[in-house]
Amino acid sequence: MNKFDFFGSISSDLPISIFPGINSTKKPPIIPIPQKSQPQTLPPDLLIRILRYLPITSLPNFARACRRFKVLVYDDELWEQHLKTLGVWKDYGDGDIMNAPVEPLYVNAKHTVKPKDDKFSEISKLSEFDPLVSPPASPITPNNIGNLLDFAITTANSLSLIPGLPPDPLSQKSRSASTGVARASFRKIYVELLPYYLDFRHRRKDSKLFKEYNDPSDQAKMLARLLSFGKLNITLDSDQINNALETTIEYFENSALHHFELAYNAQSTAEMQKWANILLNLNGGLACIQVFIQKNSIFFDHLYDPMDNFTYLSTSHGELNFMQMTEFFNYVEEEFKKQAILINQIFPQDADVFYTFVERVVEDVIIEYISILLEESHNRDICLYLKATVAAHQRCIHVAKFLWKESKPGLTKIRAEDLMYQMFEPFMDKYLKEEMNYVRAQSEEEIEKWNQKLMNKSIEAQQAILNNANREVYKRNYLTSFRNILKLPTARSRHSSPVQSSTSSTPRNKRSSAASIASSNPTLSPTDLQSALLNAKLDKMQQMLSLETALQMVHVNKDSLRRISAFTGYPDKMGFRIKETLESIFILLLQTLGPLHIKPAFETAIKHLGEFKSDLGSESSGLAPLVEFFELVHIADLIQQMVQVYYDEEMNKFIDKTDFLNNCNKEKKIFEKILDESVAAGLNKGIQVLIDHVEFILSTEQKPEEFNPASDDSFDLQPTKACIDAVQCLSNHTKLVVGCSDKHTLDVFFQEIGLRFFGALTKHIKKFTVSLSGGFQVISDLNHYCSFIISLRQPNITPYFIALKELGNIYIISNAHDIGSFVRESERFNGILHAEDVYEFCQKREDWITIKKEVDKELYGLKAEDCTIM
Amino acid sequence: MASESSESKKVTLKSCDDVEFKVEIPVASRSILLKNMIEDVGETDQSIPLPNVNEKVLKKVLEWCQHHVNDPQPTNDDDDSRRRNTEIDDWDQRFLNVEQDMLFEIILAANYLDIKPLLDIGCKTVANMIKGKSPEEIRNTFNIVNDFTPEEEEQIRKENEWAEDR
Repeated sequence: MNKFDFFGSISSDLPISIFPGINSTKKPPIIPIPQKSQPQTLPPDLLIRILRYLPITSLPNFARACRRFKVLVYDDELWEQHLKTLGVWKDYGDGDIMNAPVEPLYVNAKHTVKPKDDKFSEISKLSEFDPLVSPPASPITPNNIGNLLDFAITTANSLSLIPGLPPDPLSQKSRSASTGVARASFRKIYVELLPYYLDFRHRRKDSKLFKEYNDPSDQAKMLARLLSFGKLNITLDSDQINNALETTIEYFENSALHHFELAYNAQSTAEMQKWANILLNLNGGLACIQVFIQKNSIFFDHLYDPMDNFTYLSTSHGELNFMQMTEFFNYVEEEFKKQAILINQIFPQDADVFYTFVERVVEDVIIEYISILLEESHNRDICLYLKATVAAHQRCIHVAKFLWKESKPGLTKIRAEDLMYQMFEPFMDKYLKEEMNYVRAQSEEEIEKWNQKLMNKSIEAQQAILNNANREVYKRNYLTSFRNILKLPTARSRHSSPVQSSTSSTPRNKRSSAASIASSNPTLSPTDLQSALLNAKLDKMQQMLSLETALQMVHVNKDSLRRISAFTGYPDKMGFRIKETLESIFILLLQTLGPLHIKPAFETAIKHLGEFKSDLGSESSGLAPLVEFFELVHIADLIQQMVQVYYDEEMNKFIDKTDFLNNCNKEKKIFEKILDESVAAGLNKGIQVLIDHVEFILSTEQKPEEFNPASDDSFDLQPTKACIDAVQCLSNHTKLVVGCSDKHTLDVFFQEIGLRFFGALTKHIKKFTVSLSGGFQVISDLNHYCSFIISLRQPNITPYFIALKELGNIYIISNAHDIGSFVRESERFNGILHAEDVYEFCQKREDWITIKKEVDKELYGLKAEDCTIM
Repeated sequence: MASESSESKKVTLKSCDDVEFKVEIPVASRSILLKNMIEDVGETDQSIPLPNVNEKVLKKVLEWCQHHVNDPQPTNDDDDSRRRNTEIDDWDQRFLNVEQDMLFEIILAANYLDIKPLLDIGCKTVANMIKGKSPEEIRNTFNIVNDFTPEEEEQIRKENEWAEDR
């Protein structure tokens, strides 16, 4: 049944055996083994536990009961516990009030070991005289115990008392290490304090303590010591004594506080210092510090009203300068500075009164001020609120800096900043939320504004095609200016929205003037610059996309980022959240700009492209929807570059560009993908439309007689009108595209155009019958096409047109036999045109019927040697 | 003894003399030993053997646990506060108003089962029995024999004179 007999002590003699000191050296103590199996006694660890609850005065009799109990009473553990209660064990030397009398004792105990016998009464007499001053070096006599020099204060004898543990050398050693030093130390304090303590049995203010100590400071120290002394169970009636003591201390404290207040009112630093010191000695001085702080006028009597900030609001164009707030904070800082000096004079450093004071001011004064300020600004205008939050935060950080830099002796940097961050944290939640909402609302508003404008605008097709050089210069200038704008400090005047001038005259002059303004006057307000730039020539380019809208959005975004970035110093969780919000705001820009602005614009443009039908009206001037689309691509490209610049300049500070898991980077990729896909889809459609149009030109303008002149009348070997027009149309549009997308896309685009054009041409030529003289015309046309294609610099497609050029020769060969071999010479066409294709072209010869037989004979080789080969 | 309330889940405890007690888990969890054990083992139909506690004592201890089932769990650093509070509330005083053997067994069981508050009031009760008593009275209380010579006892008395009541 008793499988787990942890408590051997219950029924066996184990409690004896765990006292090796007794067991091994003396005769075994006689502990009556009970007749019944019931335990009659308790294991030593529990007995020591019981002793802890025993009044000190009851211990001597307990020790006299038997040897076993004596060992328990003399055990270090008990006395160490008592010393801990007095606050002098282990953490002695910590400026504790008990420190002074005890420390020398320990020093003595360690160094002047003179094993003597009973000298205790002498020592106690000695120390009674002057307990506050370090007592004279008194040799300590540990009882029954060996070498004091081996004593280590912090060695607890915890090992020794595990019940049931067999006595081994180790536990024997630790047992015998019960040095009695703790007991001796305790005795020292006990003997010293007891008379004063007991005196409170019958007396209060007239007690021995107040008679022997005249200095209130000493009285305070003694009272504090007695108070903690009373926490031990000293005597049977210690509860009453403790009550009396507490009453006395209360009275003493009140009277000292009164003196302190008087001194405060009288501005007497010395007096304050004296009483503060007394109260600190008495009980840490909490009440005194409270009084000192509460009496400061800053809590009830400052003249700064947060509402003052709004008084001048109407006169200063809706912008707050927060002058009043600055004044308020200056006042607070000044007060901190004054109080730091004062507190340093009155209180000791380790009481940390200045921190308490600052904390109270922050809690009661600053928070209140900021709350009202923010609430009021929130009621007025969100933008105002956001700015006010940033401004308030800046002031707070300034205060923190002031606290550790200016006010001497102040706080450490970390403590001061933590205080401020902690204080401001409750405001952050709302702020971050509002900031996000604000950016989102503003961005959507911009989009909405643009959409409205788009609807109202009659889309008249005005197609002054820009030439490439201009466009490149323009885009470069624009981006440079944009970069400059970004580098400027936070834009102030976002609200004065630029008036879009409707003049489209002399765009060149305007642009250059704007650029020169930008370069010569860097302090120019970004908005001015922006409107100047926009007015310069964007009217035409803004059929679908608005640079202005994008720019406004970037601005809103940037302002917001700038504001939030003021908070990036935040530690811990809040700092992380701030960074998160920062990223979300940037992402917000991408998400509104991409899907809400760029994508619909492209969709409209592509729709226009799809609806386009070629007609005679719009020939060389270009195809309206196509031009429109190309312009769109340009603007989109510009916007994308703008975002890139913005990303480089602003976000770079906060995120790691190479971190591909970062949400910003991911979103940016998505944004670019949307753009690329839109452009690709549009280009695809554009090619279709372009080629359709070219085919239309060719089919409507090309006259049959051009390739088959009636007579040998004059021809000048110039390309035909249809050819010239078609090439003109193509080159106009390809030029538009240059620079609007990356080279790779353009290559693909050109190649596609080349291939499709090639197909269209072959179809086109096959429609006509070509005479010998017309053949020269065909060749000159083909030459023209070819030179255009070469100008595109696409090595992949030029061979097609060179082959086509070669093909033209088929119409000017007069010998039917030569024609046949010409058709077969596939290497002439670089494998692009097969014999069958060439043969088809050949059929279009005017004299085909007459030469057919000859050619076929040559081609299909009705010759003997061919047969053998076959 | 086992409470028949069906609301809480129960564990079965088995005393050293093979008597089983069905106890609600919150009640059993007053004992840190059992609490940890239940947490480690999880739900089980097996009874938990308590080889150091007999039926009489276990019943008594469980009575205390039932009464104090809603007390806050003691914290670890309660050494000091426990000291200051030497009072024992009325119910506990009546509860511990038992024969001395029983009191000791309750203390041992509380120690074994790791029920700090019960151990404390037990120790306090014993301390109250000792305080103010002469050595002979203490010997009688604990049923022990004086193993000092008179000289030795006088020596100890002298050594501790400073702490004697006055």
